[in-house]
Amino acid sequence: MCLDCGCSETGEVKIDGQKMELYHHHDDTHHDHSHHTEGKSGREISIQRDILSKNNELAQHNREHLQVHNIFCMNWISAPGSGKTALLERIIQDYGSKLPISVIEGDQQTDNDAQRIVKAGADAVQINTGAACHLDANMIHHALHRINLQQTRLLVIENVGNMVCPTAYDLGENLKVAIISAPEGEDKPAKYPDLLLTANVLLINKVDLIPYLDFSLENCIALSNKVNPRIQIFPVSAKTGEGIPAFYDWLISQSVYLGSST
Amino acid sequence: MHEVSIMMSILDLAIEQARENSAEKIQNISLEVGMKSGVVIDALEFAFEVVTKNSMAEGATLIIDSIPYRGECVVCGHQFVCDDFLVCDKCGNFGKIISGQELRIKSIEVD
Repeated sequence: MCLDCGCSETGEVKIDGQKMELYHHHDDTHHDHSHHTEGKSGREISIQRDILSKNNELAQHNREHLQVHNIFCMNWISAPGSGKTALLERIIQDYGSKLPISVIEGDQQTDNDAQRIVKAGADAVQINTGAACHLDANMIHHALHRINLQQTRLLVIENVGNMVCPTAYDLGENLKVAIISAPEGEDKPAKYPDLLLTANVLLINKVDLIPYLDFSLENCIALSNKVNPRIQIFPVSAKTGEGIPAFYDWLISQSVYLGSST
Repeated sequence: MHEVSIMMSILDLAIEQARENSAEKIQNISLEVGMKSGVVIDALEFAFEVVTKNSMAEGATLIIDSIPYRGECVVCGHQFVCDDFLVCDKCGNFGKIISGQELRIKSIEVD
């Protein structure tokens, strides 16, 4: 495996169970290093490029592709178990008839989450990253070919459960959404500031459990604002539906594509 | 542990540039890494050794310029070094980021 993690040479990325074509390997063994290099010693070449520029170019390509099809895209990032899939199920059940939603699911293994999304009533594509800890723009590019773009207004990319690695990778989304849940603790935004810093929206899920926890919503919101003063925060519950209408209404206000479909 | 994948992107860019300049060996690679880029420098250094094996950068030196996380207060304009909070250490108001998210390849030295 090349661009992704690299910790496993035997790992492979699969989209809906089919192996995805990866970037080339850095195999330089075929080069002949025997000839002289006179007059070329120690030259400095200035590069000055973003390390992720290739990913970012592909992400921009994805973004333009989605824009052509009038699709608004969110990239959802959280720790495993924060309730991303349950929140999506709730949104699809409550609003799917008004707003055609498709989901790209990222997990290391299994298509359990894609099955849940399909059961809830939306189109889903599953990416299995194998050993990799995040999705990148190339995987999304491939997955987009399997989405019915004509039938989609809102595309949600559910990233691999991980609050660190996915943060660095632009996928071509319009909004980056961070999700934490009340049982994870009110100081989670301070413990994982890098995600919050790059996110546009924070969903605080499982607020229905707050009465049973040592969790102050007020403290959690204050901490989040200290990390990123511009972040939009919505306390929600996938279980009870609390807060979901406020998030949905705000979302609709963010894009003409979404507004025109209701 | 996305540092291995970040390092592969670095090597991709470095090798591409080295070949364009008809070089045969990369002697060193210079980077700028912000403290809030989400990348751990130790992990990056570890990944460098693994990823450069059997490539034209094998045995090269990795030079990392670490860029501090700094903000500028939106109210009083004071510039400050942040730990994790983007809060002005003078007046307590919120700030905007001025540095610390860099993830750039600056240059390479080749033979």
